Amino acid sequence: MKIINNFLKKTKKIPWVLGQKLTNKPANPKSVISDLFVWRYNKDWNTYFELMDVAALFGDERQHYIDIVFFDEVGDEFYRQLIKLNGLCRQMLNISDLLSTFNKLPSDYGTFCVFHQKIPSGVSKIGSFLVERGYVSYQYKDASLRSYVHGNLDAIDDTLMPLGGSSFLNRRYNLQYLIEPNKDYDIALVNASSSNKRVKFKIESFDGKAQIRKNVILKSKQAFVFSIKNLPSYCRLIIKSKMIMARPIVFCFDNDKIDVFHG
Amino acid sequence: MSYYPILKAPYCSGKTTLFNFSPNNWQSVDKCKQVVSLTYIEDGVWHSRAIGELGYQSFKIIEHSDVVGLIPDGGLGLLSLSKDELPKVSLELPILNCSRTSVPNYRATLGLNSKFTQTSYQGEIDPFPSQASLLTFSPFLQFDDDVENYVLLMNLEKTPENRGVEVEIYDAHNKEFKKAQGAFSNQINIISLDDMGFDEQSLPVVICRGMTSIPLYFSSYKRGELLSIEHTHPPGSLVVHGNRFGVQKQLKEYWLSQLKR
Repeated sequence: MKIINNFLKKTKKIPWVLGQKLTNKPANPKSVISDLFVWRYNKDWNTYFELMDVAALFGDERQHYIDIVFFDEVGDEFYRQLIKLNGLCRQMLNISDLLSTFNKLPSDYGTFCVFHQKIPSGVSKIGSFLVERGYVSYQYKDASLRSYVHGNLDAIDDTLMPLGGSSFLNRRYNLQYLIEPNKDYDIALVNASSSNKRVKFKIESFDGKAQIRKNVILKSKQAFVFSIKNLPSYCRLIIKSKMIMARPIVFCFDNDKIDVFHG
Repeated sequence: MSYYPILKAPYCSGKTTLFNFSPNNWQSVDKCKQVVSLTYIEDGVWHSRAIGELGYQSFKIIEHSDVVGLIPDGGLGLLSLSKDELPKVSLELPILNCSRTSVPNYRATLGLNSKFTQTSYQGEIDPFPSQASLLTFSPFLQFDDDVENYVLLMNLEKTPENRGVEVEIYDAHNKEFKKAQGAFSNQINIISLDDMGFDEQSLPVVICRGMTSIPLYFSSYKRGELLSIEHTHPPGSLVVHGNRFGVQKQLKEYWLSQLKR
C-alpha cells in the first residue's frame, strides 16, 4: 500500500517538476550571475548595496571590477557603470547617489544587478557559476538606521538573460507571514523569468475571505511594488503565477519605521 | 519540518509567529491540525512540552514572555509544529513528524520587538553537525553615536548540551585579530561588534573553528528605537550549480588557515 501511495504521490508531482527548474544554467560556462535587486529612490527612499570583492575572498588580491546595470520599473536597462572594487575592505555603494546624477529618472523603483568581472579560478573548474546575491539596505525618511535584506534569486546572467524558471501550471506562493491591520506594507516582486508573467496578488483574511486582489502582467526583469493599507483584520498574502517561486520582498511600515525582509 | 527559535537580542524580546499552511500548492502536505511544542535543554536532556494546537490554515504568535517561566534562565526556546506530541524527555533532539516542502521551506516569522518597533526575518533552524565550522563576512555594521551592532550566533545541535567554543573576529583586510569570545552550542550567542575599532571601511570576518551557526547581524539605534536584522549566506552561496560544497570547503580552508591570533 505504501509503495502504491508513494508512486501516486510521485506521479501527481510530475506536471510540477518535469523540465521546470527553479534556476536555469547560463548558456556560457564562463558567465556570472546576479540577483535582480530592487532599488528605491525618491524623497522618502535611499538604497545602498554592499559590494564584496568575491575573487579577493578566494585569495586573489589583484584589482577587480564589477559591472552594475540598472533597470527601470518595466525592466528596461537605463544605466550601467564599471566600478573598481576595494579588495577586502568594506565598500558600501550608495545607489541613490548614483541615480541622483539623472535629471529625470524613468521611475522611482526598479532593479539592478551586479556582475563580477573576475571569476575565481576554482569556481569554473567545478562547474559552478559565480553569483552575486548580497546585501541591500534601505533608508526610509532619512532614518538613522538602515534596514538590511539579503538577495536570494539567481536571476540573470551577464548577457542579461533572465534565468528564473517558468511553470506549466499556475503556482501559489503562500507567504508564511502575518499581515497586521494596523500596519502598511509594500510587497515587491521581480519577474526573473524570460517571459511575461500574469501575477495575481490576493490578501486573504484567515476566514478565507479575499480582502484585496490585484492582477498585473510583469514583463521579464520587471519589478512591481504592491501597496497594502487599511486592512480590517489579520491577513496573509498569496501570489499566484507561473513563476516557480514568486518570492517577494516585504517592506513593513509602522508609521515611519520600516522592517524589510525576504518572503 | 524545522524548529523555530524564539530570538533574543539587546533591548528586545523575541516573538515567533507560526503558520500551519503550506508555502506552496504543489508539494504534498498533510492538511491537519498540529501540536505546538516548546523544546529546551534542562539537566542535560531535551525536554519538550505541548503548549497548544494549531488548526490548519491558522497562525499562532508566541512571545518570550509566554515561555519564560517554562525554560531555564537564558536557555534557548525552540518551537515546532508536528502531527504528534514530542517525547517529554529525550537524549537527542526529537525528529518532527510533519510535512515538508522545499520550494520554499516551511518558515516562521522570527521577530524581535523593542519598546518602540520590531524587526524580523523569515526563518527556521535544523540541527547542525557538531564538527562543522563557521565563516562569515559582515558588511552590516552601521555607524552613529547611538547605534550598536551585534552578531547573534544561533546554533542548534542534536546533543542536549551547551558545548563551549571560541569565536574569533578579525579584520578581513589585514587579517588582524580583533577579539575572541566564548560561545555555546544550542544557544543564541550575542557578541558586540562595537569594541574592536572597526570603521566604515572594515570588513569584519567572524570564524568559529569548533561550531557552526546561523550568523544574524543585529543593529539597534537609541536602545531599540530603530532595529535591523539580517543573516549572511553561507560561503557556498557565492556560487550556484556544480559543487557548491567544494567551494564552501575551499573558502573555509583558505580563511581558517590564514586567520591566526
